Amino acid sequence: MTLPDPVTYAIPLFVLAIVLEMLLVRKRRTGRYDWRDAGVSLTLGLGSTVAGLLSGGAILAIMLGASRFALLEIPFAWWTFMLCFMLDDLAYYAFHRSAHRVRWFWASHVVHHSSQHYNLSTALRQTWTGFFSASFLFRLPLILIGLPVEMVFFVGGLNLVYQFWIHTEQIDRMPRWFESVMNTPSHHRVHHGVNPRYLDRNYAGVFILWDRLFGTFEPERSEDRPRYGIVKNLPVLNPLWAAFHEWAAIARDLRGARSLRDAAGYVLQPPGWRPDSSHDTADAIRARWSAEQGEMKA
Amino acid sequence: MRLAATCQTVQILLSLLAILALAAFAWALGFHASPRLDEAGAMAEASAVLPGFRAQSAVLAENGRGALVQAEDGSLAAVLPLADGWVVRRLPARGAVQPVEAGLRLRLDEPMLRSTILRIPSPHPDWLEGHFA
Repeated sequence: MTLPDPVTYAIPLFVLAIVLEMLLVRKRRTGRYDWRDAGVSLTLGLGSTVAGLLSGGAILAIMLGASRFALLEIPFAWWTFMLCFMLDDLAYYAFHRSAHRVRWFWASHVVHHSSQHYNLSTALRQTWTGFFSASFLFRLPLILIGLPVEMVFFVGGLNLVYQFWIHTEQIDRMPRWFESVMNTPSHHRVHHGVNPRYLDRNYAGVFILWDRLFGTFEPERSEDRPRYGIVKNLPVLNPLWAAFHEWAAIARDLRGARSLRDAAGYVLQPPGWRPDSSHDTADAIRARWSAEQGEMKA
Repeated sequence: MRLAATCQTVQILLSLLAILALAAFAWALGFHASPRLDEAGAMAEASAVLPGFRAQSAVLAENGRGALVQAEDGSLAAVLPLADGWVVRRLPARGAVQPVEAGLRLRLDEPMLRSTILRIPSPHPDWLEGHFA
């Protein structure tokens, strides 16, 4: 069965939604846009599409090769689409959590977090090095179970399209039932926040249930509005630097590594890890912040 | 094969045009601000971005486009302009600030940010001169 790529069909809607959001930001004075930042985000989105075109064939070949070893032969049916969508979202959660907790994957994913703005153009700020970091491997179990490759690609596209609309400050809260089950703008603002309490939280793609289930959920608090970006924000608005800066940092650290253990740590430990335990990882930052809060209360 | 490649090239060119159009639209709507800091804003920015940094004093660059901020423990941070926002960096304890004709040269030793000049006019406050190289 041949299925369309949902992202291709959604692109005109993305553009219209960005135009509408810009008008709303101007009218309501809520949220932020900057023409330079938006230009970088959109350029990174285009670069990601080109990278996808270049690597798509290889990923497809790997998936088709893996499908020969599938345990089951799962047919195309409405319920298998639903199952595939759920499992793909779980795989996305695993990928996304790893993308924040393992520097190798973070080097690719950091691009998406490198803007200090949070608007619909940020949603399109995507990696150019996803294939190099091998992040597609997180979807491999779905193929090995026996879900059809076309279906996995299709629901993956739907997942990506869903995540577009949650990159906005124009929507405060959705209805309570929706907030408890689905990923929403509020939940995802927390994910993009660099406030210590928000670091490495809310990894969900579509269903926030995964974060609630695996203990990584954090609600947005009105008294602690998210500040967006990364712990050490980029000093320039340069798409090339945004796409490759963390890979360059890994290379620099590896050149200075004193042992194999240090080298492995620089690649596989969380971002901000250092061999001398002067870490700036999310956990270390949160722990220092918690201690400070405790001192202030005392 | 050639047709597909041509189609993809056209799509990429159209996408580039769309990016330019959206950026121009954003600019036309007024999203091209270059905000200015006051001392309280500079201290708030440094304290918010740097965990554990408790700002005590600040000195502003000309037009408020940047600042140097000192913390209660004597450490120093730079608040540098970037588009409509700021980038904040801790500075090494000694030797990172050097007076030059145009203002103060900050040595940051990062890729893409080896050094920068903040147009902070003299006379400089005593707490800042203590950091000079």
